[in-house]
Amino acid sequence: MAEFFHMGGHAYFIWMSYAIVCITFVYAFFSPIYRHRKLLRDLSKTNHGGKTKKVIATLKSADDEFSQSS
Amino acid sequence: MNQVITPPAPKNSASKGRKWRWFHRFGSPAWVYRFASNWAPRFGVVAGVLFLIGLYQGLVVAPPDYQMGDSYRIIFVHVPSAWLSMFSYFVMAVAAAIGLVWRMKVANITARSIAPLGALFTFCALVTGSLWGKPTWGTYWVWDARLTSELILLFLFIGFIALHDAFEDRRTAARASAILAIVGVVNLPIIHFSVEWWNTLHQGSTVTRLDGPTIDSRMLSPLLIMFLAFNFYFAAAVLNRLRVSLLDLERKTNWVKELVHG
Repeated sequence: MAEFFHMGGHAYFIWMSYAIVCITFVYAFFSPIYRHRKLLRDLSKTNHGGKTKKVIATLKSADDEFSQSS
Repeated sequence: MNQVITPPAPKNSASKGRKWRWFHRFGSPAWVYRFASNWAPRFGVVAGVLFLIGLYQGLVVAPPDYQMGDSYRIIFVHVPSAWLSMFSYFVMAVAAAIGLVWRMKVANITARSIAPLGALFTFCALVTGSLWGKPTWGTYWVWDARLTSELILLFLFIGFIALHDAFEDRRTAARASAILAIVGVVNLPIIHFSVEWWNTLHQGSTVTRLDGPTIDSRMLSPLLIMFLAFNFYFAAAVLNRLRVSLLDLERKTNWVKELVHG
């Protein structure tokens, strides 16, 4: 096992290469997924206020109509 | 003279023909968003499995090289990185050109999504090459043709991103950066043939040769697996980026509103 990590004296160069590739690839893969999730959350928050207000407004006007007709 | 001349079909008619349907689909951000959401995870899983197999074969199964010892194992990340740095540049330039000619928004966003990944692959190719050069050539860096042209590729990617993001207006950004991307394609054959055209420390091709690869099959097999893994990774990573960019740019449209509010 120790021999495997030693890599015939080239351990530094080999493990450094693999580590750099591994870390950057994992970051480049998962950071857009994280951003996507965050964006979906933000969008549902920001747009929802407008929609809820609209629903309340329609309900109110319906209420008014009802009270006027009775 | 009984040839019937049919009038050209009106724009956006259903009779436009099968051949172009896929093209129109790829022009629709909603369709591409759904496509990316479906396929990115699948490509990602395939890439992950291939990475594990390739790493095991490359680091454990493959024997040491008779000249370079174990340091040659860097090849399994270096060569696929270098290939993808060029391939991703080519795909980016094609996407940018499509965006330039047909004014396709999705094509432009695709090019912009590829650019950072291309820069990443180029960076990895340069760094792993440098780490391989030290034990093999005795130096981290030489200003020879292969290394320098690859460094220029990195600057082209960074230049594309910088130019694209320098404009407020999206269409101007798309046009200007597309021209840079297309002009930069000239660098690809320079990189590829640099080892033949100029005297260089960098070795020539060992795999893509007319007379067959000059590499042991136990070394070739992990190299090919890693190569496949990198390509699937590229596909998955681009789709991931594309998806979030589309959602961001199209946030005011109906399909995003429907998506967000069910």
